[in-house]
Amino acid sequence: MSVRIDGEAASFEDAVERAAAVLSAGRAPVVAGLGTDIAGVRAALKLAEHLRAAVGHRAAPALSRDLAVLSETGILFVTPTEAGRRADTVLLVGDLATRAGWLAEVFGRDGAPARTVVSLGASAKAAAAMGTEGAPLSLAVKGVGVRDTLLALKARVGGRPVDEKRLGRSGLRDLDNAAKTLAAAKYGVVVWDAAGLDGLSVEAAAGLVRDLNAAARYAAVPFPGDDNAAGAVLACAWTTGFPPPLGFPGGIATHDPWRFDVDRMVASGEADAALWISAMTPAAPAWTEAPPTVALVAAGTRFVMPPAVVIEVRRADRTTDAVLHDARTNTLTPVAAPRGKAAADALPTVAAVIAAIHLRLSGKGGASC
Amino acid sequence: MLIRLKDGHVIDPAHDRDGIDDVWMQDGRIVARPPRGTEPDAVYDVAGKIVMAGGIDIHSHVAGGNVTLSRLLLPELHEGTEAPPDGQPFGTARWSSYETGRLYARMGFTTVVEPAVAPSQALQAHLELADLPILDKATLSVLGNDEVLLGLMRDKAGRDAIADYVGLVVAKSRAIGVKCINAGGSAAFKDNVRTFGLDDVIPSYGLSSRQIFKALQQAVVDLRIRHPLHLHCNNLGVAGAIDTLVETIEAADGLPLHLAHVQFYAYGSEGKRGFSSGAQQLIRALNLNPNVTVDVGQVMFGQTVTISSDSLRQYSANALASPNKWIVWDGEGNGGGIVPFHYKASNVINALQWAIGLEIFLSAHDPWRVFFTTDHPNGAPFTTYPKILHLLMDRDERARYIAGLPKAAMALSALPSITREFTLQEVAIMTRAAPARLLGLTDRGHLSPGAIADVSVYTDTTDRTAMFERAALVFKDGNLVVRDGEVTEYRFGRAETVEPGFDKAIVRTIDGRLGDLYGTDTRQFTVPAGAIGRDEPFRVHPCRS
Ligand SMILES: [Zn+2]
Repeated sequence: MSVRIDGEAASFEDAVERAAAVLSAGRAPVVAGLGTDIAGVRAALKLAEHLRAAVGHRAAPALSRDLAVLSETGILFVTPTEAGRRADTVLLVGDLATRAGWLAEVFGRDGAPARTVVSLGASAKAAAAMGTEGAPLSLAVKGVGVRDTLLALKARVGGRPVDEKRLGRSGLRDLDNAAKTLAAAKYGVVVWDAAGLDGLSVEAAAGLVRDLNAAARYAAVPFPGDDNAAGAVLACAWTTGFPPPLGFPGGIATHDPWRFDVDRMVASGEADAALWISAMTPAAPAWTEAPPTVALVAAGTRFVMPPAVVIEVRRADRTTDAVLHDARTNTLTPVAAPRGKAAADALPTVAAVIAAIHLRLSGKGGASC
Repeated sequence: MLIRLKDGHVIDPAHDRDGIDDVWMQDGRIVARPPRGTEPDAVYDVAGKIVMAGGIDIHSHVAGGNVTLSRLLLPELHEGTEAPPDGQPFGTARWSSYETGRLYARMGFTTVVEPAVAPSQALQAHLELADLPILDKATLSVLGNDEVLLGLMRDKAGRDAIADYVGLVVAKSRAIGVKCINAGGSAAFKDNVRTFGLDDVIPSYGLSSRQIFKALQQAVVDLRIRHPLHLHCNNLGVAGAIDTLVETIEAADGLPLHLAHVQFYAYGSEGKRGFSSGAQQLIRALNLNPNVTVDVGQVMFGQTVTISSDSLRQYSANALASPNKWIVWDGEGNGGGIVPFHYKASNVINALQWAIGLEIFLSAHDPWRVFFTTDHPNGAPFTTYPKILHLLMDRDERARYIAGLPKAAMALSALPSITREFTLQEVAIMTRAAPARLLGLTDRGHLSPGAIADVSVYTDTTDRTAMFERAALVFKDGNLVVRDGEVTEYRFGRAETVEPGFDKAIVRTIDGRLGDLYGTDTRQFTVPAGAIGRDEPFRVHPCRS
């Protein structure tokens, strides 16, 4: 059943009409999830501007940590493709177990150069994905977490003193060893996933890259996030000037990570209507209490609380030609749906549904501009 | 729909027109005066106003990876203050694609070239440009630090193979030409080299900057692409860089070459600060080498952000970042860097940079070969164009600026003694006729029948800033899009492209090389029309026959 209103099967036209009613009734609506292709993000932004809605992405917590570093200090980074070809030294920061597949794609290719891997809390799975012989040089200091070890390492790389009592003599020796190994790189990279780190760790990792780059060549390889998060950031930035979370108070595009944090807005009751978009993974919002919601989701999505309107949409990466961010090349890439799959899928795209809702609301084509 | 612009002062240097006349448009094109008695559907009385073709900017960083990184680096520099007018979504969202189109259009510009698109980011750049309203746009593909070209050269693949590869990239990435940015410099930076001159060699390839740029220059000639190789030289911003610039001009060996933002190289190393104007040396070299064109990259005072694919240079400039934060990145080719910068009128070096740019404009003998740019936003945002035109057209305006600038700086430039004032004819050459010719866009930059009906009408006043800030009327493809300096409605232009011929066998070679290097293939720089989300997003222009 691909279209439902209040849990009952409905026609697409009725669902669009109801969706328009739900969203326009809100005084503080939110556009959340945003797991869609570039066409979907462009359409969602136009609708959000019209509704003066807040816009957030499902990967917001991790995204915000990387974006905060970007706008507070900047960053020195390398595309994963070039990192995989060039890096002779890799520092893995954090667990990264869920990114093992990505690490294998980036670093584990046949013909990759011999490289030294230093692990700061990386799981065995992540380390194994690097495709290097032997175990990585592990930097685990007993009783000291990833963040504090990273801060201590950064201090040692910079030749600054650290709390020797806490790290212990062998801990300090390991740190200095690692610092020496890292400094010996011809081209080194520091890899992290902001989803598994706190803000200070991300900032320290980016700072460590800058410090190491003063003498050797170094660059960061942050994981770009799931569900086309990095693609959504780019499209939001060229459309509004800003990454999500963003809003349109008074019609003015505005970036404010706290004010437009859609999860916060929903939890506090501030949001009074929601458009949830998850066309890449069948994911429902994790909200325990939600305002009237319109959900554009991949088939098979299960909801704890039935939304007012559910419209199932095409999987951006499976059954429709799409533009998505590619986590290996770090750029937008056209992804062609396998031949025949698109024709066999009767579901609409996110962009088409949003354009229909927008048209219903404005009487004008949301699609034309 | 037949439109008559009646009794305007028509300035169309491509056809030596400079006088009171009508301009007629129909179905998006300029048409000849119709037979007597034909009634137009619309008449605009433009008596006393200046009528020119729509403006064309050959070098402005308005879209793509580095531009969007600058948006993310500096959110505090572009907070919005007003809501957009109805029907113009995001039109006031500062630093957005939408705002860029709106602000260009109100100045009477109708075509803009984004000059630095990494092939792997071509799709992103074209998507950003698709959301830039009103104007037509075009891109240049950046080559010269990409591992594929360097590998072909190292392996002595030969001149034909290089041309085939360059042709493939230009065609697939929907570009109009080729840009080369510090040839080999970014590749050398990845090998931990921190300065890179014309005859320095990339350690991992054994190739010099001179060899690389000359190979690309030859490829562009061989492919019959009309726009010459668009080159960003080595040693940008360095005192004494005038020597590099002149050596590069001489190295062109008579083949067509365009040198970007030359102000940033026209620096001698004289005076007690070891920094002086090299403008006159540049002018001499230009006079001796008619195959070379340049754009200026004028500096204006104020906060801006430098955006460049010269990753080596941007890294070395990071100590000057203001506010103090910056981005540098490595990629399969050039990578890039974003360094915010504040040009201060009180700073001797910055004041001299300002003077050198104007000195180049005003000393150049041939306005057809010296192009009007600020290298937006590197020297200044494009919104400063009206002020710069004012400075070029009005020596009293220049004197007012000079009076407020450090004397030490003015003493090192010939600018204070220059009395020349640009005419409207010369402005029209620099911003319309010459850019169209340089880009090979025969359908614009002039007002003769058959040209696309991109027309700007300005109120003729001595306050040239006011005149060029807000065009009285702008027509894009014959549609009125600006009235009294305000955009009246969005329309979306196309990307102007070329499709040079190349041997299709090269595709397999390049797929193989990209596969070995990265596990990717030529899809990485292929921009499918269907991915852009607008009808007919591209228009193909012929190469030289
Ligand atoms: Zn430039």
